[in-house]
Amino acid sequence: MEKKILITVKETYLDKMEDILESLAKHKMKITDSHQFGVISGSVEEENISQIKSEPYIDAVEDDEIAGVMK
Amino acid sequence: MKSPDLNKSRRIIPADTEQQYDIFTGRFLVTLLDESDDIRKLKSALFEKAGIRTAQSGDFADKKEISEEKYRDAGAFIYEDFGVAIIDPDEDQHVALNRISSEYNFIIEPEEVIFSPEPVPGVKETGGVTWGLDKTRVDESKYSGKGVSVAILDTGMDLDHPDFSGRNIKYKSFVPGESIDDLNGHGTHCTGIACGNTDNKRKRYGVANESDIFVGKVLGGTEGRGSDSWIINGINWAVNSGCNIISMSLGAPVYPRQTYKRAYERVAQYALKNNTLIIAAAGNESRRQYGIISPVGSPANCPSIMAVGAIDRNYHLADFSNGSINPDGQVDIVGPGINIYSSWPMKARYQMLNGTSMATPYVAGIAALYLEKNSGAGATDIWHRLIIHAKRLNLNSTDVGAGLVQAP
Repeated sequence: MEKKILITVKETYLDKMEDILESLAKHKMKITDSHQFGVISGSVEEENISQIKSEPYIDAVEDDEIAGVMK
Repeated sequence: MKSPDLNKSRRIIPADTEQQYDIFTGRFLVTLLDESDDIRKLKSALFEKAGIRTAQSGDFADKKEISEEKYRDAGAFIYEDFGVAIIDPDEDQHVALNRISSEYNFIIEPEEVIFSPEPVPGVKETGGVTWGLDKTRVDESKYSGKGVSVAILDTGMDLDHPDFSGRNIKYKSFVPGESIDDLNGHGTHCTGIACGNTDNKRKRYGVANESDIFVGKVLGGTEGRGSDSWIINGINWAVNSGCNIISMSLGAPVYPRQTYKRAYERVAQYALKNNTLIIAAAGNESRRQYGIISPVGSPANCPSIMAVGAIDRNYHLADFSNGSINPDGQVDIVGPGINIYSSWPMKARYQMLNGTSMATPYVAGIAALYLEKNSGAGATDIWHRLIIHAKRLNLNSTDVGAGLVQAP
């Protein structure tokens, strides 16, 4: 099942964002947005997430969750 | 319907003290915005949608005989000739009425206690400003946020709201398929608190009334929901647009012992490096009257985001205001968050709301005043000034942080 995720890249890899996007594409991640501060959003099959997590440039992989107004 | 006890006003909305509504009777006035609307529609809405039984002026053969004693068994009394009803709702009914106010084209306002016009020595006159502006000393400040850019990331805004005519407003929607229009109302309310000015009767309700406004829509639909990635896109836009302050009255609950999201912390650090201070609502999941204190929500639980709790006009903590339960999710400061009057999409124009959502734009607006006073100050410097100048409260710092935000 496809999952929406947020990737945070280690700060030491911020100058390699293009390479990282290529790497994530190889993991079949569909990139929605990529920010210069090292956060990438997109979607990927759940089974590919563990491989992504093992990449050396990964700081965190987190669910892209729903937020709302404070009720 | 019971007559109000003007010496001891009642609770209507989740509340902390009896005294906090001391200028309100506890009842509400419902006014049809279009006098030509059929009053029967309002009557049926009150009963069917809010379960409020009504009496009306037509029940009296002689309208001069109308008195509260004679309709005390009804939950509402409708003055058919004026299109006005006076109601006595419980909490659920009040929520239901707020929900249908747009559909049935009416506004709800608290019925005020009318005081003697004689001045009382030692009591500050607050008629021209909301209580929140008074307690945070915004009304005494000579600063207006001029030259400071404040971003409100929320449900969008009613850009045609007459109170904002002539203001410099930049906007962008990050909600796929939706324009900047505020389908919920929350964003227009928060923008009004942070950056608005006065209402149509010249009562001031907004803090940074000469600031430049950036409205980023990151929550969509009538429910006001969005994804983390839309919010991060909105922050990125605001930072790269040169905004000095970002106000975010949004979030998601977290569990005890749950840590913050790394993605939000990264974007918040990026914002600080670019001299943008992010201020976010601590959340409303607590029910303190039942002993339930919920942790500061996400993204306010990030160390690099200032988390805001809520108090009432008597400096008591709001029942719903979240606390510093988790090690890395601390309440930093509090703002006014009960019975907060501000702008609302037309035709209603104004609304009174409760929440840490309302406290947050107070802090954001006041941050803009500090930045105007200390031109060129960095975001961490402004954070520091907000904290050191906060009014200390006789409450736990785990609930209120440094205390109540105060204007320079």
